[in-house]
Amino acid sequence: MHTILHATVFGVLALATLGGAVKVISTRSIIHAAFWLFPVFAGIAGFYLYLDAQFLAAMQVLIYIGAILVLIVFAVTLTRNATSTDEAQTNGLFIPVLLAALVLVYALGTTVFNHLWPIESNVWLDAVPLSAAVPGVMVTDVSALGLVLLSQYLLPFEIASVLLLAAMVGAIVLARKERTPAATAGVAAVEAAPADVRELSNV
Amino acid sequence: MDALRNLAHIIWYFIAAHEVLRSFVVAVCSLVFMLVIVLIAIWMERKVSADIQNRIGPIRTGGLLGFVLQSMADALKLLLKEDLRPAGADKWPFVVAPYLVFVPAFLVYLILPFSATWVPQDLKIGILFYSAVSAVPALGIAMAGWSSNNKWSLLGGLRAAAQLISYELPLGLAILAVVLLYGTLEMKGIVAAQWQHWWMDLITLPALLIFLVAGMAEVSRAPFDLPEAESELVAGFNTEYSGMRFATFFLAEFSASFFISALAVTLFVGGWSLWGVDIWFAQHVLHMDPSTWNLAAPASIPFIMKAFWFFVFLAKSFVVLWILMWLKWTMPRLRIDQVLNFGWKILLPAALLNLLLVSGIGAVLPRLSKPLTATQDVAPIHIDDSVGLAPVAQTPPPLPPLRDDVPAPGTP
Repeated sequence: MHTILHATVFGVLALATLGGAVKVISTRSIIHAAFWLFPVFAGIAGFYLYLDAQFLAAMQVLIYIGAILVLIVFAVTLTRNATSTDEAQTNGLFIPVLLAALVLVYALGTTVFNHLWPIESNVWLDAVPLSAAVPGVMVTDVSALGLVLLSQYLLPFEIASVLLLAAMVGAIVLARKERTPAATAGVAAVEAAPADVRELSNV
Repeated sequence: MDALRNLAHIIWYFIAAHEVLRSFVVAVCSLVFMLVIVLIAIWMERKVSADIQNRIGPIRTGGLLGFVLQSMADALKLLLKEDLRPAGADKWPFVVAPYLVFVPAFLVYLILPFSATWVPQDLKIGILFYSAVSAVPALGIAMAGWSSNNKWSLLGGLRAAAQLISYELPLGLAILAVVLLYGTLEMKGIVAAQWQHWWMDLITLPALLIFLVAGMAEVSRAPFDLPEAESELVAGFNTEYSGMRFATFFLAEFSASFFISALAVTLFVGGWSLWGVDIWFAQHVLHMDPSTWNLAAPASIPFIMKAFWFFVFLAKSFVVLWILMWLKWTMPRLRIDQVLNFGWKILLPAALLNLLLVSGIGAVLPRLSKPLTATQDVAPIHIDDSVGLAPVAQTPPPLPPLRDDVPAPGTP
């Protein structure tokens, strides 16, 4: 009973993730490609949940679906030819991308096949002690994750923060427009308008 | 009668012993609860708006039963309407979008502590589940706006995406203040801490204000209802929707606004607890012995108290919902630039400042010396110097065994 259940859950999640991923690269409409990312991200969140990593699943949904995917959709709707299905789908980088993909497949494949996965033991899912970092605390514990991030892995954590900060500052610098006097006058006129409207409505 | 009770017992054992079945029953119960709440909320909205605009509101249906029948009539009308789909619409995103908005709005009820031990599913990540799931409707609304193939819809969808992303930050920071103070993500633990120390609610008062403002923007209620501003965008992202698909959006909106009120109550206003008055009442009026109550063992608390707390929770939530409606019907709609400026330049700094304040208070607060006797066994004060103030137990209560061979606790 439980084996069938597990197989079904895994199958549905795998189908959603891989099927969505195939549609992302095969669909001709760029906005549909963005929409198809939803089953991919949701499927991966489902895998995390299935492995009892609730925190990771929540973060996956929050960041990938709630922020990144919404921003992608937002950006795509603002691009020219978003509805077009005639745009070229390749950009001449076939060989380099194929090489990069092969390197990734090799790295993941060797990890998957060489690592000793303790699949046979039943305690695998919910009780692996993080004994090295926080003795006696379970991996699934959110507070353990926080403690590890702020003690053992503090440096990588801070480096990632600085990287994100730099990216944010860079984005603001790129997006910020120099205001010419004429543009400033225009903005002032727009800002003044509602006040007039308010006066009119008070009559 | 006995046969009936035996049958009920058999059904209950069967359900309790099968995790999948139990989840299904919990889901159906939550859905029914949500639908009933929405029916009441719609009627309430009509009456409150009428009151504020000096009208009477709907009076043709039902008399005293109006609060049930009026919403029923509304729902039936929507059900019987023709379901139109524009010829130029992007087919499958148009169909999928309402569900992406509705399912999260219903899913979040999973973690709501309705009473001391009545939580559909107390997840380990608790409030984080809400933060994650509530981020999905933005995608659904953007999808609806895009796929309708209508410029008003598209503008509404874009506004919604911008607004929801902007206000998620202050909302999350307001929630973070509470999590920081009580040292737990679990909803049960957060309410239990407020039950023991009612004055903690005063510390999170600024966070409550930030939460309510950001929450109103999150559920796109006036004065933040720009995604569906009828005077400029016809009906925004749901212009092209009709019949049942429109009803789905409508349901999600009302469900989300009740949930925001209920969450505000749970995180900032003591949830189901009555700030100690409930314990006093139980001791002196009902002559109960609260010292034997144990939140980790549901059977130790009398049913009457759980039911009482449930009604306290509902009453508090509806009061907050009423305040939100009051604001909705008395405030003019903001412009999109005002909304975004307010979100990024005022609300976000305020939320960060509040977080700083709360963490400062949490750091200097004397260790909470001793809990109320009523809850001594419930949540042993667990002080961990590395975590800071932690008034509630760090370890979750043991889950009820639900394997086939063990009957669930609390079963007769």
